Amino acid sequence: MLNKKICMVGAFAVGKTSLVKQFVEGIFDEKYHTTIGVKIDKKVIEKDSKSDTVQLMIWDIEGVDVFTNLKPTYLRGSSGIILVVDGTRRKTLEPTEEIISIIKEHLGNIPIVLLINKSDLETSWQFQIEDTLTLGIADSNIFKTSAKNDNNVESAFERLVELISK
Amino acid sequence: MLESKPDLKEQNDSGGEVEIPDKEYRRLRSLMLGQDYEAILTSRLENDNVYRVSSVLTEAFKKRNSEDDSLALEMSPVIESAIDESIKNHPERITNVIFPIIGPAVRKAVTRALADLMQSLNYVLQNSLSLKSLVWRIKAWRLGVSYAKYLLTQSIHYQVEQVFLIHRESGLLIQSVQAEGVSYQDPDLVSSMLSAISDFAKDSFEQEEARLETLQMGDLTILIEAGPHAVLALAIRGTLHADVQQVSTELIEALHSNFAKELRYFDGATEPLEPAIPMLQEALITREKAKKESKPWFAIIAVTLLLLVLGYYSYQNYLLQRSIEQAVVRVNQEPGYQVLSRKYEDDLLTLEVLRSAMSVPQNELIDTLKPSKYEIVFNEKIASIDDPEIYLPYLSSKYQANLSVERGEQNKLIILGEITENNLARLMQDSLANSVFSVEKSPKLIIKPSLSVQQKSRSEFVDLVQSINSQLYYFQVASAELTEESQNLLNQNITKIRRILDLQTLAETTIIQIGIFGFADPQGSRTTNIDLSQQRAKLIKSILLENDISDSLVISWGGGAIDMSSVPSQYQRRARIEILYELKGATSHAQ
Repeated sequence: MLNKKICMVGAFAVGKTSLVKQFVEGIFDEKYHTTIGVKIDKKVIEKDSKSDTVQLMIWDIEGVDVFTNLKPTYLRGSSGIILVVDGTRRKTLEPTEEIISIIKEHLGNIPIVLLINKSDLETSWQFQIEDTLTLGIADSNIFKTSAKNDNNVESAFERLVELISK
Repeated sequence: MLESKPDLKEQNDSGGEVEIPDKEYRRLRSLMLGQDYEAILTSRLENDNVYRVSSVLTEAFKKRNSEDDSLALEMSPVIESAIDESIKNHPERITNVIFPIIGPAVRKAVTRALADLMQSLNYVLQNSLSLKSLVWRIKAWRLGVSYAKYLLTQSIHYQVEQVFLIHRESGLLIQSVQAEGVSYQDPDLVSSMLSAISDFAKDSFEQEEARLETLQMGDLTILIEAGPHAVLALAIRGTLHADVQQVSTELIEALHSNFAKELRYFDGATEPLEPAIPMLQEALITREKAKKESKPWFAIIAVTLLLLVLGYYSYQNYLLQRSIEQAVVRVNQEPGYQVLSRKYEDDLLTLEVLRSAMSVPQNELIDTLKPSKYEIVFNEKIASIDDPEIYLPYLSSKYQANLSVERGEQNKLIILGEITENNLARLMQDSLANSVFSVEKSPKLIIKPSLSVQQKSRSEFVDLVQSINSQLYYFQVASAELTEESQNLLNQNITKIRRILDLQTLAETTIIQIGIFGFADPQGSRTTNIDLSQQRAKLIKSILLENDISDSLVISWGGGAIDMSSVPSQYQRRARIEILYELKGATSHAQ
C-alpha cells in the first residue's frame, strides 16, 4: 500500500472541508465551520490489486482570503493538490493564480485537479468552466462537484490518484 | 596406510616413457624384500605418521582457534555425539557431575520464587486494602480511568508508549510501534497532526530554524527528534528522563545510518522500512519506580491469619472426631451392644446398632454419652435369639466364620459352620453373642486349623527365593566393581539369603545350591569378557562367604558376553544369584 499526501486549497468557504467530509465519511453538514490551520483526514482507495491501493492523507488547509495567505509549509511533501473554487462566487477565482504560483514554486509540477464546487446551485453560478481555462489546468482535470449531492466527488479524488500514480 | 603413489615411469625399447603401475611396483618390492619386511615398513610408516601428527596436534588446534571459529564449528557435532554416547553408557557419571549443582540451584530458585510470591501477594494486598489504595481508587474514578491503569501510572517512573517514525517532508507515517496494553489513536493521523502542529508553531512564531521538540499534556509527553529525512516522535507517560532523550537521539541517528537511501527517497511505500521496526521497539522502554525491599507485612499477616483459621478449624474437627470415636467405643463396650456403622452429618451422629433384647434401652445409654456439640441417634436392630438372620451375618463377618443355625433337642438353637480355634475363643467372649445366647462349643461347629507354622514358613521361604532369583547386580565398565546401587541391593539381599537358610528347617525345605552367574557387555575380546564375567561372579561369591554363607553351597560361573543387542551396555554388565532348593518329599525347585 502506498501512502500519499494531498492538500485541499482554495479561498475560504468554497467547500473544501465539505468535500473531504463527503469523500471520507459520505456525509454533508449544512452548518458552516471555518477551518483554522489544517485538518487532516485519511482515506484508502483500493484498486484491483493490493499493490495499487493508495492511502490518501488529506490535508484540508484553511481558506485563503485578504487576511490569510496560503502557508507553503503545509504543502511540503504533497504528491497532488485539489484546488477548489465556488461556482456561485466569482471572487473565489481571484486567489487561484497566486495559489497555483505558490504550488509550482514549492512543489514543482505536481498534479492539480480543479473542482468547481456547488454544482447543486449551478443555476446561480457566476462563472463557467471556460473562465478557468486560463489557469492552465487540463479539461480532464476540471470537475463540477457538489459536496451536498455527492456529485463527482469520488471521481475528482480518483482522478488525482490516477495522476499521482503515473 | 600407504597412499597410492603416482605410477612410476621407465623407458621402453623404443625410447618412449612407459608408466609402471603402483600395484606392480609394490608387488616387486614385496618379492624382493619379503612379506615380513613389507609389514615392518608399512607399520613403521604408519607409526611415523602418527608420531608426526601427534607432535603438532596441540599447536595446530591452538593456531586455528586463534584465527577463526571453524574448528569449534567442525568439532561441535563430534563433541555432541560423544556427550550423547557418554550419557547413554554412563548416566550415573553425568548425574554425579551435575548433582552438586542441581540441588543448590533448585533450592535457590524455589526460595526466590516463594519470596517473589510473598512480595506479589503483599503488593496486591497493600494496593487493595490500604488507605493509600483507597485514595488512588477515588483519584482513578475522578480521572475516569480504571484503577489498574491508574495503579500502573503510580508504579512506573516512565514508559515509552508509542514510537512514530515520520517522513519529515510530507508528515507521512513511515512506521510505528506501541507498547503492549496501550490504547492508541490512528498512528497515521497522529503523525500527520504532529507534523502539522510543528509547522503551525513554526509559522505562528516565525521560527524558521527552530523545531518543536516536546509537547506535553498532563503526564504524557511527546518527544520529537528530527533527522535530515525523518522525524522520530516518542509518546512518553511519566517523567521525561535524560535516558529517553539519549535513546531517541541515538535511534534517529541509527535509522538514518541504516536506512539512508530508503528515507531519502521515501515515496510513500512503507515496506522497505519494515526492517526498522525492531529498532523502534527497542525504544519502548519502561522504567519502574524503585521498590523498597521491605518485609511483606501484609502478606505475612494474611498468611498467618489464614493459618490460624485453618488451625482452629482443624483442631475443632479433631476434637469432634475424637468425641465421636469415644462415643462409639463406649457403645461397643456396653454389654449386648454392637455398632455396625456410623454417619455424621449436620451435627447429628447416627449409629446403626445391633443389640440384644436384654441390653439397656438406647435412651439410657445415650444419656450417659452426653456429647456437647452434636446429637446422637441410634438406628437399632434388636437381636433376639429367635432372629438368627439378624445377628448371624454380623457374627460370621466379625469372626471370619461361616455360621448358620438349626433347631436341636429341647428347642435349642445350634450353631453350625467352620471357624478357627482363635476366632472361636473370641466368639465365646463376644458380648453380643453372650447376651443373646449362652455360647457353648457345639459338636457341629467345625474347627478350621489355622495356617500352620510350617505352611507360613514355607510360604515365606518361597517368596524370598523368588525375590533373590529375580534380581540383577550391575558393574562398572571393564571392572568387577559393583555400582553403588547394586552394592546396596546385594547387602539387603544377603540378609534375605541368611533368612532363607534359617527357614529351611521350619519350611521343611533344603537348599541344594546357590549359583552366581556373571556376564559382560560385548565390548572387548571374548577372552577378556569371559575373565571379567568370572571375576564378577567370584566377587559376589566372596561377599556371600564373608557373610557366613557356606562355601560348599555357593558356586560361581562366568558366561562372558551374550548377544543382547537390544539391551544397553550398562545392563549387560551384570551378575545374578540363583537359589536351587527342594521341598521335603518333592523334587528340586528353582525359579
